[in-house]
Amino acid sequence: MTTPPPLAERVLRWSLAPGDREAVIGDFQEEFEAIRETRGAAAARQWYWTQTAASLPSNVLRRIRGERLRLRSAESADDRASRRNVRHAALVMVGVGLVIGGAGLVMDQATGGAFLAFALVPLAFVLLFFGLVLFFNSLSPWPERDPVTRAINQRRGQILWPLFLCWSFPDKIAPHAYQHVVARWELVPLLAGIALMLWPQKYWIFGGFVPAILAPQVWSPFFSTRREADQRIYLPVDAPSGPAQIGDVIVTRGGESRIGINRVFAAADTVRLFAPIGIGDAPVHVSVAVLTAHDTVAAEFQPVPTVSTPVEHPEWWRKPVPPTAQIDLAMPLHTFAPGNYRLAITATDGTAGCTKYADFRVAPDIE
Amino acid sequence: MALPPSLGEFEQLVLLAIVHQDDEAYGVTIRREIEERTRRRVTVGALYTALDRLEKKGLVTSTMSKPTSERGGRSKRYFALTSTGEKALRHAHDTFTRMWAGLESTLRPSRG
Repeated sequence: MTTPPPLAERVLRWSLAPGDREAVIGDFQEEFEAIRETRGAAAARQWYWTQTAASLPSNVLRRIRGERLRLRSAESADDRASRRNVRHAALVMVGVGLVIGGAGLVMDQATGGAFLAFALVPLAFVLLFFGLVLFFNSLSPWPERDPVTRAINQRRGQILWPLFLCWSFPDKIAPHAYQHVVARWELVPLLAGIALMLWPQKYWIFGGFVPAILAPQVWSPFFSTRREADQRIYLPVDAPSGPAQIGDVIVTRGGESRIGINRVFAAADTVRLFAPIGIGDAPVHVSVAVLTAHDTVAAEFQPVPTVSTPVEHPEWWRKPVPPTAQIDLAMPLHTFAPGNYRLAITATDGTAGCTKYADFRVAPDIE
Repeated sequence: MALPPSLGEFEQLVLLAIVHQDDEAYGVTIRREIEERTRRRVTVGALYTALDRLEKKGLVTSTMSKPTSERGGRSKRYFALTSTGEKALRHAHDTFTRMWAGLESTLRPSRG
């Protein structure tokens, strides 16, 4: 029995989208058999090769289109926005480059060829700043997913503009007599200090070596943001490893991105307790005990943990966040007498478990 | 009322071939039907490109059959006209009929 030419069949298979292969190669096979029976094997082989070659462009185009559609339907809204942002940022950068380059060439002609060498440095400088601003703003090719961090980055991107102006134009805007005071090189330490204060610690390359005084991580309400989803105002806090104080609230970082707040509660308060729980494959049982100063149990709760979905970051350098469980417990304090207490949060999956403690104090209500 | 999607010439031929083949409309039979009736060569790639486009427009639907031995154990992809496809075909026919009206005596039909 004569079979279709193997090479032609391989070319045909390669050119087709996976979803088309079954039906189209079957059609080729059926037609090949029909021609072989009526006109002979040579005519059938020739037909197979001719059809394969003639169908190649349309098959490949259809395969590419299908692949693009599949990729687009699989990507998230954030990924789509990222793709648009990359295009937008690239267009802006090219546009800025062309405008500045064009202006440089005009100036070069006007000054008889003396300008271009000097224009290249400012051109690179301007493009660098544009790149930084785009990176920190919504045009960034890699937009930050966390809304709070994104808001901070946008503010920092806006702050880069005055720095750019300070750097680029002091010798042009300052009166000649004062230019030695605001000359560029004398601004370098000032700009470096400001940049250190503004730069998010998570992006520091040498995070551990920068003295804390240069980078106050608990920032002012200047950076607070209103989240559109729930209209709440958020104060983003990059908590340092040691405790920091805002008013009468002490903020500490218990672990990677976990913020704890130690404070004195009034008896009329209801404490809402959120606690992340690391989970494995087995279901986790959580109990929360409120212990008195003498370690007797004043109250016990059995909250049911809710399991989060894992988070995959688009940026290759960020670790994926594995699924975690979280308890959300509302604990009215009016049943507790004023005094010092200790929360004991115990999580166990039957074979292993751990307990974390947090101290708090209930103060008498102030009338 | 919204007009049905407009059809190119080849798309009309493909849709008409599907109607002619009724329950037996798949790649091979559609292509043969067009080649026999129009006496023009149709490549398999061009046919499937048109069929994909028609399916995206919602004018045809496709279903895979069970594998058959004469095709090396491969399935057939059967095509059927949707109601939108039928409307589009009818609309194209009406448009041509209106455009031809009164021209029959002016433009003589070609021989062959």
